[in-house]
Amino acid sequence: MTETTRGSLACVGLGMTLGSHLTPLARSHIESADVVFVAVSDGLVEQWVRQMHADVRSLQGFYADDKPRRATYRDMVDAMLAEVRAGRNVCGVFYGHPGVFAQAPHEAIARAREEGYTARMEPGVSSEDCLYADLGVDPGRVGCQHFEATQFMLNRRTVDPSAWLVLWQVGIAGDLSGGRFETDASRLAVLVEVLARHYPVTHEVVVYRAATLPFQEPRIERLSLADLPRVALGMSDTLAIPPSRALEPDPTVRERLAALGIRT
Amino acid sequence: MSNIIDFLAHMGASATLRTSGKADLASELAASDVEPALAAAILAGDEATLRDRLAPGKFFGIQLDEVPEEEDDGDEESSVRFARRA
Repeated sequence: MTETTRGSLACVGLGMTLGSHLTPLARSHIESADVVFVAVSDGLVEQWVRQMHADVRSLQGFYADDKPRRATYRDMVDAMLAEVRAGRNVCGVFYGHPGVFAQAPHEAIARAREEGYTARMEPGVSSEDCLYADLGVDPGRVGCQHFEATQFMLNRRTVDPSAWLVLWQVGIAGDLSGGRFETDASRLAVLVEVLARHYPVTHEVVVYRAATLPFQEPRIERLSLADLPRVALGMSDTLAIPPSRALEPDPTVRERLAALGIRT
Repeated sequence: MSNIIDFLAHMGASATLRTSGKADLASELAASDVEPALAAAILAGDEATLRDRLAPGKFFGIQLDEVPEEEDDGDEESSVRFARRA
């Protein structure tokens, strides 16, 4: 198929906080679509989206406890693409940024394009963006590494303790089944052991959760790394770890650059 | 239903309501037609009551999977597929 056929897909982000982050362009995609699919983490936010369009279909029904999440994401993609193939202009609405820690939007867009349909992604304000604002972190100052928590546990990553380290989806850390939506103290204890390769267990870490409702405050809970297994974590929680050591200068590179002098 | 969602959307977009104290919020709620019990929940920061009344049930927020390679069913992780397509 070489020509773009009728039917299109736009995956847009709602941002994190109801009413605060939706871009004019994302709203326009929602309002002008033939059908809207929505995958958000808060039922009140879903109700908000329902007010923007007459045909809003929740993707929550594809989730189930103990159902492999990968199957859920396939179902989401199939549902959106079925409407695209039927010739409809489809909008997929996802909380935060539709391309950050979100599998279905990337996959749906790639498959739609492969099949000759117009498909695009519009960014939204992500939890990462809110974290920078709420914790007062500028990733440009000393750097910031981001990993999915379980992936971080299962693989030996190169950690730079002179930069921030942010572990996403820590609320399901250590899930090997792909179908759990929670973690527990024993799995978090393993995560602490992994992190203790790089940080003292007395190091302060931050449990963070962005506000999804405008009257909420973000969760910002500071504790020692050793205490992590004792806190209750939910699906929306993130672990942010400040640097534990200073940047290490590289004298060789500094000398080489100094020898080059100042050029205009 | 629409009144409370409209109010939350209005509050979310209002610098005044998001940054001022509870007195301003209470005044705005009193001037709205939000049901008193729900207005009280907003003032109390009681999100559970709002969800129980308006959007009950479990909402799932995980949208990315990290199945270990040895338990993979043959599909590559989506970002890998995406990178190869790009």
